Amino acid sequence: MRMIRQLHRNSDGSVAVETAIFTPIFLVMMLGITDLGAGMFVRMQANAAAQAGATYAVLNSSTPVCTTLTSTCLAGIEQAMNDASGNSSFCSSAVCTASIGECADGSPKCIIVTANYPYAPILSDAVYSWASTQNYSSTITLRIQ
Amino acid sequence: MISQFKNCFWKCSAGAVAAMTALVLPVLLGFTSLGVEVGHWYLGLRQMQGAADAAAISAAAQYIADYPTNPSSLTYQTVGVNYAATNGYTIPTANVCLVSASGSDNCGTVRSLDSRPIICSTGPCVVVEITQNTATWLSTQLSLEPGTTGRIVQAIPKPTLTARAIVRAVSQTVSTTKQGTDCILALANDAAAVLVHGNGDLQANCGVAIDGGLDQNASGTAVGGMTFNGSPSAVHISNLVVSSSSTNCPGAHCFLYNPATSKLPAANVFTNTATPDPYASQVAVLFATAPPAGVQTGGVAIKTAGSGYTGSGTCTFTVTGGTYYTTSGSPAKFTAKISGGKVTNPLTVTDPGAYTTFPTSPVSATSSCAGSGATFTLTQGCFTWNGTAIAGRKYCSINLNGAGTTNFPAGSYWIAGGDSGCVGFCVSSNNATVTSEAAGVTFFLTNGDGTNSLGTNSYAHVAITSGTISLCAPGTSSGTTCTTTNFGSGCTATTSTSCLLFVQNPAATTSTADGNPSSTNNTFDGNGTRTLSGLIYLPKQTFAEAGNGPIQGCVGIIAKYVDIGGTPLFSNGCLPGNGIGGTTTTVTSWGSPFLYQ
Repeated sequence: MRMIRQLHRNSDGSVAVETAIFTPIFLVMMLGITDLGAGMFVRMQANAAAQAGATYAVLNSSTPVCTTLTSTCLAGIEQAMNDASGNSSFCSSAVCTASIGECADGSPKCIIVTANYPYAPILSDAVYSWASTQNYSSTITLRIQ
Repeated sequence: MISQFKNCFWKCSAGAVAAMTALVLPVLLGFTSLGVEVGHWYLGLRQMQGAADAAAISAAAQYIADYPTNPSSLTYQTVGVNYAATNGYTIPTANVCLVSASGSDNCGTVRSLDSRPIICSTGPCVVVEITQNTATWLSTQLSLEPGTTGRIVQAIPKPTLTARAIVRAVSQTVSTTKQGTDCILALANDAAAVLVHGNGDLQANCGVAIDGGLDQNASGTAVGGMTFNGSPSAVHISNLVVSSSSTNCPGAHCFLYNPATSKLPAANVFTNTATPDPYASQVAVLFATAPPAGVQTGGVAIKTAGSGYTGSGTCTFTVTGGTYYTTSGSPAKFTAKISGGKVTNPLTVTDPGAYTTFPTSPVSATSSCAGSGATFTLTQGCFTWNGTAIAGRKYCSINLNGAGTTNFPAGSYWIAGGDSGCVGFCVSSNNATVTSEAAGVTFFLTNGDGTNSLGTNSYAHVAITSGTISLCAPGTSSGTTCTTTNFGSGCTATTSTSCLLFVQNPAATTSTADGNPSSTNNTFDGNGTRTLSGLIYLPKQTFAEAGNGPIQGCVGIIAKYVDIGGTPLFSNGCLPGNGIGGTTTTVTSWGSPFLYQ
């Protein structure tokens, strides 16, 4: 009985105990924020890549290079997407697609460029639903005729 | 108990970490949220800019498509809104606006949303503005963000994010060429600008245009038309374009070229329509430069006899000095008699030469008989036709009045004023055969300037009354020779004389009526076959065709009056450029969009 009373009154090691309790919580929070930031970065990369690819196609659409989606045009689009993403192998890891053809609204010519980049968080998918393993996709659709 | 709690509250350190954590955690979470939120803004801005760019380019494409037919169309706004939505953002119509080429715009709403200046130094520019209110975003809805004013903590601001795209439509000029379908153009403002009489049958696998009063004489009432004189007279043509308000076709004399038995339908007759002379500027350039200067017949006199000339016969002398007339120029040559080593008597000018700057006296000449020192005085003027054609020379006339074949080497032949035997280009023998080389010839009909010609007021014209003629202009022969069977079906204009066969100086004496005065009548008569390929250009005079022999070949006519008494056959095939009646329409439009901001 006395020993129990002493245990209640004794504060030795309390910091260690509290640290042990809060450290996992902080870690989960910090890693979650890191994953969130990394996710945003991937989304920005995909968006920048799609925009750059579309811009390349637009600027070359009046030349034989990209009048239609030739292999030269596609290579140029992918190069532009790699450059814009800051990752020289962006289109190797991601699914970079492009099309030049009739628009969905019937207009003669549209350019559609999509970057679909895989994202894997540090934490398990079960921890945060907003930072789970997924593909971040960005698509630019524009009409040039 | 209470006292014990008070003492412990101030003295005990138990639970300090929990307490501190409770105090600091909201602050940490606040800053963390701010960091996340700012990152979210930049991601949003990035996506908004991409959508704005795509919407602006799409709207510009619609504006470019609309501009030629409906430049004030606002459909571009709808397209801009639709493509902003396709790329993930809903915007009102007023967020898509236009800065026109004149600088005016409908961008009031865009300016009210975004104070940045709209940079469009050269319109037209399509502007798309996308805005997002961050107050509705997820993290700003968390508890850390005060919902009402008056709270102390303002953890996360709520800016309105704006993205703007300006796309400039690049100016471009598009020329549309409509090939002319006419091969005969009469320029007189006269109801009888084209006169078909007797048994005349104007057969043309092309159209006939008569422009008097509109393009040529804008101040007068347009009366240019076609007149028939004699019941057999007829035209078989593809269409008729006249400047007057009425014409004799359709009518009893007017038939289609093919099928020849069909009446010319009213749909193939066009009134009140101008047909400009498409060759006026091209020909004006040709006559802006004086013809080549050459030595006139008998125009060599001995100034000093020289010495050392061998032989006692005839030597050939080649003139030195002077500046040759373009690339076709070459020196004058003449023959002279030699006696005692000296030049005693100039005989004959064999080549008048072609000069821009005529050699000044005393003129030296190299001789085929050695010797030196002889000098001569040369007289400039047209060269009298001697039966041998030399391209690039200025003749007084080309008078083919005898039997035999005359072949013209390819090149240009200037005929200046005519002479007593022929005022221009004459073929008057039934047994004469006239041909030209495949590379083609051009005859320049201009006024005289030397003592051998009829003078500066006399303009050369064409007087063909018989003979068998086969002439082609540069660019009109498809074979190695220029004969009937080798005339091509088209003409490529690559040089200043391409496709031009007979070209008369536009300053020539004017026909005041059909064939009047007679010196302005250019006759292509006779019973022989006249196969001509190229354009006959007589803008101030009369083209007259008669006789039983046809004119055939790819020939076009531009003349003030056209007089038909025989059965000529024309086609449009050899006319260069737009042909007659063709037009080139230049339209300034807006081309590929250029991403500006």
